[in-house]
Amino acid sequence: MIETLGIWIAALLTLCILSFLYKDNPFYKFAEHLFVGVSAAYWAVYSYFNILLPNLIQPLFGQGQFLLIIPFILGIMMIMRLFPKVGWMSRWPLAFIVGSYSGYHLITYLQSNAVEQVRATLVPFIQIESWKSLFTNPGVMTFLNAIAIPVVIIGVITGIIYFFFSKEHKGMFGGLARIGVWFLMIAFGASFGYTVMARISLLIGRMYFLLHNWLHLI
Amino acid sequence: MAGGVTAVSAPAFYPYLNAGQLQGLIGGMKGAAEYETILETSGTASRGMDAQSIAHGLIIFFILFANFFYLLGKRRKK
Repeated sequence: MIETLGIWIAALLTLCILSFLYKDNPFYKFAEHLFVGVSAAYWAVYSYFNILLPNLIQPLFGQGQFLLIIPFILGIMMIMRLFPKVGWMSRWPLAFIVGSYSGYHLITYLQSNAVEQVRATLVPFIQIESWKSLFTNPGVMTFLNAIAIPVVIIGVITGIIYFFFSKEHKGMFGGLARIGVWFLMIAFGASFGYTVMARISLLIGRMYFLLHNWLHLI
Repeated sequence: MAGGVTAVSAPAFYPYLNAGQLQGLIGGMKGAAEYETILETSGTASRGMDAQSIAHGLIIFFILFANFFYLLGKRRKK
């Protein structure tokens, strides 16, 4: 019974949101505001029971770990943002968060996004094994495997050249920069394609819910 | 480490896959359908790929259709 009620509410709210395709209307506004409110409430409850309670409230007041009084006070200072007269107090915990986050993530980001990515491009331009398999077993996949590394290396070098502004983009340098732009455009295009795919997937998910779970048509 | 992410996030994770920092990546519904194929099961992702492919085909058709008439209009103005 409860499940059926939930499906009906979800289906009607889905229709309320889809009604925006016609034009903005009170049903859409209601569903939108409800979504924002429910999301905020969900995350507030989730944060309390999964973050605040096990990491701060219980250790501080239940187990006597008094050093946690520092984040407790910083947390209260953050809430002071709600009161304009003492709003300045929230800058201190914010500065602490930005500082500690930067310090902590500097190493991990440098490792995963700089060092490892650079290492992945420091490979032989010609992969002998890939070319051997191309000649022994010609096909689309073996061809793509053979040219993958040269394409990556050319893309990285020309992409870097495009972002090098100390020299005017003219002549051979300009030509390489233009190739870099093509690589960037293809990358952005692929990224946009994935975004479109994600939106279509969401639509398919909602349609499947309406036709399968709600109306039992498919 | 391997991961499964939404299609929106997938392009941001492919560099980690290519660099070997991720052992495997399931990107969006396409990735989920590929995973179902490996497992030799047919779930909602495999079924959804039919609709997904038709939608992509339609989008490509609309892009070509709109560009064709745009270029035709441009040529006529000249």
